[in-house]
Amino acid sequence: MVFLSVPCWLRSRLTDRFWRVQEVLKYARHFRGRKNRCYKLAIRSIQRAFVNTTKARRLKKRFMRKLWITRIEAASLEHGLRYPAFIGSLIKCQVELNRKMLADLAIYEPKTFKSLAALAERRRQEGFLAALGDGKEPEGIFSRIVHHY
Amino acid sequence: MAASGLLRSGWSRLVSGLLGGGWARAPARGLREVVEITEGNTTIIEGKITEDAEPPTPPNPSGQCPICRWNLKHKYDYVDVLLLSQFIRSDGGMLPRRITGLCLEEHKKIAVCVKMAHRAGLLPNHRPPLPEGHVSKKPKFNRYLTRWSVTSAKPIWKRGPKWGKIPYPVGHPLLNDNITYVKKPLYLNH
Amino acid sequence: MQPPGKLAVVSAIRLQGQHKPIYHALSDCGDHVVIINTRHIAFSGNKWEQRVYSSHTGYPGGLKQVTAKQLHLKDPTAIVKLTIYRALPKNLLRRTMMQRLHLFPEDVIPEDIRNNLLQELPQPRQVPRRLDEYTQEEIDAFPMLWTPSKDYRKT
Repeated sequence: MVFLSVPCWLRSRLTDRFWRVQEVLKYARHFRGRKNRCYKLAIRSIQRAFVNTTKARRLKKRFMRKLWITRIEAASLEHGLRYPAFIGSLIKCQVELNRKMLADLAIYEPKTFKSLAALAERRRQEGFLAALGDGKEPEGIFSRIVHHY
Repeated sequence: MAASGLLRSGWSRLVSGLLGGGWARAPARGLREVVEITEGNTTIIEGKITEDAEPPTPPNPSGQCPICRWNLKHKYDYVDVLLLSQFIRSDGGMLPRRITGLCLEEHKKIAVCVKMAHRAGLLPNHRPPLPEGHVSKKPKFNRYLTRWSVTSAKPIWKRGPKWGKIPYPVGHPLLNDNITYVKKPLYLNH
Repeated sequence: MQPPGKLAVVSAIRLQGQHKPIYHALSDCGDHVVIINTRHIAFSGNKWEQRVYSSHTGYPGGLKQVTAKQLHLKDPTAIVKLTIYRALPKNLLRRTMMQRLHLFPEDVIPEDIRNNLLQELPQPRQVPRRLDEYTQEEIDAFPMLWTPSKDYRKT
């Protein structure tokens, strides 16, 4: 009697290599075509994909900032103020809301945003008055030029 | 006669202009107005010399040409038709420099502005007279800041590569020094 | 009397929805834009003669080139349409956004569109006034810059 099962089992067992391949392929299962099952093709795509992911982590921040700026611009134009004037005036008023929060306010709290736009507009007019007039500060709390170091 | 004032020769005007009296003098244009006065049986018809209104004094009377006298250097463009219409004839051509007293630089600039205003259609009544009943069949195209004459411009069939495109000229380089009140620079090539 | 490029800048923002605080590139939140009187657009410079619109039929020797003048005489809305199409982002939403654009060569527009107009956008270019559009008071208020000599007669 010849025992063949053990050598057969030994030859056909799932080796370490199989699991190593599966480790890689699991990142490629959603790829299109043979890339999601053939190791040789998949490993190239996965390598590129990981590189792109790493780059995208930085790009995402830029994209989000661009999106916020677009939204703030749209909202401030509704109140008749261009984006550079709006942001610049808010910085001079020491309103330290970042662009993410300003964009959120523009969407979810339009009245808050409107008052912010009014504040920026007032600060802007006061800047014009100070530049064109005799340099005196007009009445009102917003005209107080606060120096921050 | 009334015509004696009208027919004074150009030579005397030139001499008087050279002598320095020509610029700031009040305009005695020699235009006469016929006035009829009836007193009983006598009717007096009189040609009175109409006195023009005193011209307003320019802000800088020591300037050499009208543009400098009014501090208008670098401050006019093709849209200022009220200014340009003072320097052109009724058919749209430029008045000569010996009459208007412009310096050469300003004369050239005003000529450029007048051309652009004509091409933009801003001086519709200052055109050469056409024969009676003439109707132009050419379609009108709205344009502005047109540097070259309409007939001389040719199509640019190949604009060249992205990094060396042949530009479309817009405006005129003589007006490059014009004062702008915005930070945006003036682009002469589009 | 408006240049097509400036029209494209204004209308591309509206078509993409960038004038709304909820803008997102994928959310397709643009508005409809109606442009009338496209027959009366204005080009700066000599672009009516110099600008060339090219297309290719795909066959050998099939390059078609027409100047802006010829194209405008053929189709008075084509120049504005092409300019806006090129100003929009080059993605799959571009055709959708172009469908929201309504161009009319004159100021005659269908009744259903006219009834749905909400907002009038300001003209991007300030049209200068012609000399015959100034009133006599304004002409008189402008001082004579140079002093005519005695025998000068206006021709």
